[in-house]
Amino acid sequence: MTRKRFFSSDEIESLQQGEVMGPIAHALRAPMAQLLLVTQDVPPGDSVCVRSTSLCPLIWSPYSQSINIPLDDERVVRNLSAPGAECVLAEPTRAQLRELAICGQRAPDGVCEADLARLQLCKSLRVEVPSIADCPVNLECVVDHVERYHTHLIAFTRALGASIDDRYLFREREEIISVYPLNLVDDVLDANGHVRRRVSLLRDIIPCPTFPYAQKSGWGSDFSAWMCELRDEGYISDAECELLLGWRKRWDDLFREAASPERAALKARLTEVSRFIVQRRWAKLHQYLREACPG
Amino acid sequence: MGRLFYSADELLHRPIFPGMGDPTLLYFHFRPARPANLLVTRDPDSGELNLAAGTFGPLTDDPYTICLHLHSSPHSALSLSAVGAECVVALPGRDLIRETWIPALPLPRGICEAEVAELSLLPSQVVSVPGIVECPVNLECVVEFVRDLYGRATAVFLKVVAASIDEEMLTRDRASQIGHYPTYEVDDATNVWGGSIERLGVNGELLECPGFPASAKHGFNSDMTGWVADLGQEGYLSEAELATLSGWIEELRSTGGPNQALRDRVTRALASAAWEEWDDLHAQLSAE
Repeated sequence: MTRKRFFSSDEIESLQQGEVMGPIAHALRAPMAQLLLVTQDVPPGDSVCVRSTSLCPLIWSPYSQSINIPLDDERVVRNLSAPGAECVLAEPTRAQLRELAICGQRAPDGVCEADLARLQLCKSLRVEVPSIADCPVNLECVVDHVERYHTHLIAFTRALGASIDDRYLFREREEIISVYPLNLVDDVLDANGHVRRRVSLLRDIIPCPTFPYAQKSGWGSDFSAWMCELRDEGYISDAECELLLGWRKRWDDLFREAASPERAALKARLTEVSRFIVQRRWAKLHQYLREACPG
Repeated sequence: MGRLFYSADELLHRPIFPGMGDPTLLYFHFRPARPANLLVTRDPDSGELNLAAGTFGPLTDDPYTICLHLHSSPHSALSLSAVGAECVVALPGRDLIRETWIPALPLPRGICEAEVAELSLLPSQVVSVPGIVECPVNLECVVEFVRDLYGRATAVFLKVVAASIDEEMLTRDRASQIGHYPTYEVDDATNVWGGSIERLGVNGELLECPGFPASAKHGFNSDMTGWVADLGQEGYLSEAELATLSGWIEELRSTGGPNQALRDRVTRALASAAWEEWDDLHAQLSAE
């Protein structure tokens, strides 16, 4: 039996005291994509500002993501909060750890961290903010909304376009993930008591189950279509499929009748047959359906 | 070497470059892998437990908050549409690939995906919905903020109000932890019917960024003036050199306007320090 260690809200907060979070606080977190955020200084500045930041993907259509900036980073907060603000999100590689560390610091106003990190900027196609030529992928984004939330400004951004270094075009995913994206893992103290950031790369890629243990499309579709696919491919008979479709339809009829004994029985049946299918227990599925409907 | 540019609309149609057979290859270049989670909620109509597969992202560390994005139709979105709603975000390990996929199947609303996946429920400390025993980390959360995303989905900000972790994980070093959990949505492969096979990944290599003197002693999000002071304190800059460089930075800050020569001087000096080119840095500062 797995032993669990529980933490209350107060205990979670106490794990975060000190210059770096403790190992337990990190263990409760997931490494997150670490990118370089490029923004244009608003007047009176005329420089470009580059920061290391974490990204949270939102939805694909439209392709949107959120980024979080500490509120005391006044320069970037000002840049992202400006009306019509734009930004570029660039993906650094394993060869750019020093560049990442340099852009993790805040240069004086007017100085561009990209220059300090010796990153080459290049023109973007769909936003005024430049991209980073040395990064394999750049997302050109507009800021749709900003929200002040606890200690951070959360910017909701939408990609208008993106660019890729053509040397990466034909590489297999297994090779790409050994180069980028980088995930922010934690900050630790080195032997001299100085903070060091650690990042990671993905290594193993493992496929999820596919048909017959899932619908053929992988995404979307519905239960009935999946059962028909199982019938068409000979995993269940016509009669079994008809029975399952009938149960499925009846379930919709009864869904809001919480006290109905028929509903409870039907829930047990649908749960059981679903379990047999995804757990690859075909013999048990056929037996169960025979017993449930002997005719 | 060159760059290829795509509009957001072009990317949506999964473009294929000539000679590229797999329609997912190019598309997923633009999507960083995202940590996967199993989300436990309670159906607002029937009160039944619902388990959904999704991904999440970071918001703040103190307090510990995270962001979910939920498509508008699934019942988990309904469950978390109001501030104060409760859920558990469970982080699955690499041994739960099949179990992570099962909640993404089109099971009828009300059928508990956890039962179908043969996952055990873990009583929570604070919130009314349980976690998942088999997941090494369970985060008990309360909704603090909800925002519509283009009429298609919802962004939900969650505050973590309690948490649990497998004790065995606490005996592992960080590299071993991240090699086990969480899993990440990496991409889709294409099956023989033209459908998708979701592929999940886990972290492997752990890399260390350069620390002081290449960057600030206090790490990321530090102001560079503190770093410059530390360079002086640790002997990388003489007192006179420190005074010169600090003076330049102060002058740049106070003038505020465009002073390209001064800006170039500060940029060159800070770049030399960041790349640990001490001879160049001394030469620049002594020339002053």
